[in-house]
Amino acid sequence: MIRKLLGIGLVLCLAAGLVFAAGAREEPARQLLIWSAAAEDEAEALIEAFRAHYPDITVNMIRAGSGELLTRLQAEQPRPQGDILLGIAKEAYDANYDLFTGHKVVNHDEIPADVRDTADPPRYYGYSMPLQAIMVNTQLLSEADIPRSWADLADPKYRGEIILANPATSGSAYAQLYMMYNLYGFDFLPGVVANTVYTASSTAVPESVARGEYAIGVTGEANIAMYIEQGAPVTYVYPEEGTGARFDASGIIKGGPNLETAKLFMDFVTTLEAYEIIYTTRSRRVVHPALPGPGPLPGLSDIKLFEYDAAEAAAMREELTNRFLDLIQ
Amino acid sequence: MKKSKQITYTEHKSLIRRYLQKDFTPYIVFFLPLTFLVIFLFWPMVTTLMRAFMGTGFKFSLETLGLSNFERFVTSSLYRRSLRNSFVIGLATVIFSLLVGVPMGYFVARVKIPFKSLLLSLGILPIIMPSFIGAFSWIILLGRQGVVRHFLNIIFSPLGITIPSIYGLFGIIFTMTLTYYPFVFLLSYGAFTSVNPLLEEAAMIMGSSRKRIIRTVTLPLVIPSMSAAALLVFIRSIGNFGIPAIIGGDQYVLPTLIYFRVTGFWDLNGAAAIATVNVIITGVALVLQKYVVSRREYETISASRSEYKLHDHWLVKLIAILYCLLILIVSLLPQFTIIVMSFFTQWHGLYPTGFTLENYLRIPRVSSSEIRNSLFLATTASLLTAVLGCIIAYITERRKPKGAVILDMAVMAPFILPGTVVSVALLAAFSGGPVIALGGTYTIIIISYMIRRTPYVFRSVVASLSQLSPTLEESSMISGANWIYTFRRVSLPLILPGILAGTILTFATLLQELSTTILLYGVRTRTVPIQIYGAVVDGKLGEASAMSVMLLVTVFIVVYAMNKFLGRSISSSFKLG
Repeated sequence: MIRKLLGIGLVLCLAAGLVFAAGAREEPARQLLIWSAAAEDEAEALIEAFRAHYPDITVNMIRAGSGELLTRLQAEQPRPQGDILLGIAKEAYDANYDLFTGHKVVNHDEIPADVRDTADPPRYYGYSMPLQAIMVNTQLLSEADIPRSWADLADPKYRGEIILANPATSGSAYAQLYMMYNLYGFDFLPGVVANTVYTASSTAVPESVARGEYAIGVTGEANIAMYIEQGAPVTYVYPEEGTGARFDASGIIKGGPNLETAKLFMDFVTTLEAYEIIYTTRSRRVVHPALPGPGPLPGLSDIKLFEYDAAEAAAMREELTNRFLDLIQ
Repeated sequence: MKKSKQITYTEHKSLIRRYLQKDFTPYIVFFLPLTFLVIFLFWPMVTTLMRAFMGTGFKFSLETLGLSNFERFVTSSLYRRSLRNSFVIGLATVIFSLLVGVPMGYFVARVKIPFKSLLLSLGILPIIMPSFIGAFSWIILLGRQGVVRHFLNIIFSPLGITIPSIYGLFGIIFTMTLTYYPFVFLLSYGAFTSVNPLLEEAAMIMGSSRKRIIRTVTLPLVIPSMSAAALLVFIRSIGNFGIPAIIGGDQYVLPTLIYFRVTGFWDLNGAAAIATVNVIITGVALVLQKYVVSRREYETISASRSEYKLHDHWLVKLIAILYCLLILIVSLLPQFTIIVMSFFTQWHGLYPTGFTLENYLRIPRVSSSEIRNSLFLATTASLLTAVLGCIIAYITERRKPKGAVILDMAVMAPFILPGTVVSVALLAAFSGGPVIALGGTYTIIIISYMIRRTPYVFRSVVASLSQLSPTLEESSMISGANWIYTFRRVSLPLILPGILAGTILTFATLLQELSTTILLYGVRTRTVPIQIYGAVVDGKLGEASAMSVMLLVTVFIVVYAMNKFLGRSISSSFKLG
């Protein structure tokens, strides 16, 4: 029996060798590899539309969270395998600015200057707008009890009812903290901390509110739209003070293997056609001014926005997060 | 003068002869795995360790060396609290896993109960659960809106008792115990079946009571296996991220902090520092375990064997069956939840809604190459790991070279290090290099799997070897067999159960591996867990569940077949023909 096992092992090793050998083969000329933090179906819909324009280009996708993709991008220097980074927070591009390369897209003039890189040529263009909004479970809170503002999150009557993602887990979660800090100062935060469970899993926030584990969460508006469309008993609240106008972006990875096709894809992903795909597949608000509020969500004209100073937010991130983390008991 | 010269000459000649007669096969056999370790294990480990002492920045520079990354353990109350939580969770999980798993191992090994291979195969399943979805199913059961909690509350409300929801430290320990007790169960089962019954019979003949025999003969003999299992449980529980993240609320642990550094701050150096602390804790546990084992000698596997008598009193049988069933049912509740959920689109509130078969029907359409990849990668890596772990265990346990402890630590370390840190080290070393360019290939994934999972086979073979007297091997050598023959015909058959147990665990856990794969996978090497991760993030719990069920069923079939068909040959391999 041992001999048999050894035999099987040997055969498998040989098979492995063959696969590696096959892997080393040269690939056909026109290729594109997209690293996507956007949802699977969304990225696939984009790729399909892109293929319709360029049938000769083989497009592949690697899907992971933005943290993993950036880690990977750094680790694979100086020869990263990917060409495009899709749907990652603007702040991440700023923090890793040297790892991207500029390209002025065909539709450059249609994209407002405040949702793209200001350099020429720009290294990233806006993709979607992950506006942070309050998500409320309507079975647990009556209409009269629903919080209306950031300030309400510190109201003691919500003790134990709020779930937020820990600011150290993601850019969006940090943005929530920074907005509250910016509006009311650091002394406001302990009141929120007392009411709130700060989870390390950002997907747990919308999922928990939808299930009714917690009554209130703060999350990207697209998540709220998704659960409303699934029929979960939830609704959205845009805080009275306003919410920060942040955006996710796409850009070309510097030193990637297929620069020319990457440029074609950037041209494509900044067209109205592409923005419509992002807008319809997952009810995402996009940066293109021609498109209204997605799915069940209101249009931009009905939401109070305030300017989100990404540079200042990023500069004080480490300090503010660490001060905040020591508040959690 | 002349005489003395002659003596040196003959001495010299005999030295050469002895040198030529020496058996070199072991050195050749040892050379390959050790080279592999140096290139793919020591190098990434050293870079990780250096990173921990580097200030900021991804590029290596020696100027920023310092202790700044470790300062937080002194200055930050969050870090101190997380460290304490990790300790408490690790120790409590070990204790409860032993309490749950050892009796179960004993019952299945020593009591005459039916369906043993079924029990053994079901017993491994709690470990097999893609981490996020597994923890989440506990919330569906025992969360505030949990279905089990709801009904327990209805039952208990007349008594004025309300079941608390699962969130918090207790929930983490509860969940981890029910996830990791199989290590104790499987390893102690193996030990109880391989203890030489002659020793127990001798005690019985001398008039010892059954209780006394268990306490003074049986339990001490299985200490090596039990402490190996305890070590595995400890390492796995202080390394787990998913359970504290979902169930812990804001009770954080060291892996949470690592996650914060990597995804929140893109700060691998800080992550490496936290991981180093984790490695040190594990190092202490490892030394402790070695000390416990080395206080006595355990030579229980021997050539002369008789079958031990199984308990067959009806009361013992009844207790054993009820106990095993209770533990299995409770610990398999998440798996059951996931099976239910896989037929629905969502589970908001008490019951799932939107019955559908589409979650399964779409699998052949969207996952066929991922299934192929998962099976190929897990199988190849498991077999190679079996060979590697077995040889290294043999070297450290039989040859006992100087620095065996370092080798032991080095093999265990990647098991403790978070997958992200190991993969980054591999990626940075081998992705862009002109000599070995491995980025996006099967090879790099297999290598990282091997490095991260060798401890299963390694630990379980070390435990088997410490139960096996070297006299058997010595007598084979004295009878003229060379080393390779002795290894193949004497040592290997005797430690085969240990190798198999380790390999099965490796295969089962590799099939659901996510944290390493997500950084290393390429277009052609996507695996099923990557798809599950995507579905969870996109809020498609039904699809994620269906794919998880598929993995569960695969593991169950493989393990069941191994137990069923190899079971007899495993036990007969003890008898040496």
